[in-house]
Amino acid sequence: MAVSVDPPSDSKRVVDKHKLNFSILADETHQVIRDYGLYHAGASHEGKDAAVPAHVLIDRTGRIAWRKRSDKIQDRPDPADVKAAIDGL
Amino acid sequence: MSELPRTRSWPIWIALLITLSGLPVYMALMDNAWSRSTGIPMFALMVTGVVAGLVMAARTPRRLVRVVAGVNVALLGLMLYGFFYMARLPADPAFASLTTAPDFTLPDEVGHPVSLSGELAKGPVHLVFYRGHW
Repeated sequence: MAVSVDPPSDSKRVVDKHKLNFSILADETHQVIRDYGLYHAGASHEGKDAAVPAHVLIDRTGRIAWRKRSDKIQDRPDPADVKAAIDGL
Repeated sequence: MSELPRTRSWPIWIALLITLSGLPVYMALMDNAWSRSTGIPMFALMVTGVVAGLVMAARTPRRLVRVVAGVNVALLGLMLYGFFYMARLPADPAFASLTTAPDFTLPDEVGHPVSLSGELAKGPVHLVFYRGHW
């Protein structure tokens, strides 16, 4: 599942447009991204806050099995790396 | 073999074109994680265009060639600044030091509350944090 700082209505548009088979959760207060250390103050052009893009794999016990965050805006993990981490769970 | 006439200026526009082609190539290769993160294909093209332009500028006194070669260098400088400096994201050691995933309950895109602990009861969770502001 995904987390975004956008309101549910914006996320619904994304889910519908791309026919996603997972949910996008709305973290409008930014509390969750702060809890995960992914808060980016004044990220957007208008100075709005956003999240640092990241992936977290959590096992059934709640332990973080794998994590990857972006160092630059354009960075995203290689899908092959993510898949390998999921397979290793 | 005769030398290229020194008065021709059109090759400098080719050099500029090569530099400018870097960005469309980057966009075309966006789905490739390596190209997207390193920018190497784009910078390879831009550096080629810049070096070619500088070589041409060094070989002619024509002002136009030198100006365009300068613009070429400026474009590369701008791209380096944007790609490596402006694009930086803040580093928070908290993310790296987490051992267990902080629990939360958030509304999904149709307003239904979803809790991490509830989802973990069904199996491992792959949590993706999007930047936001689509």
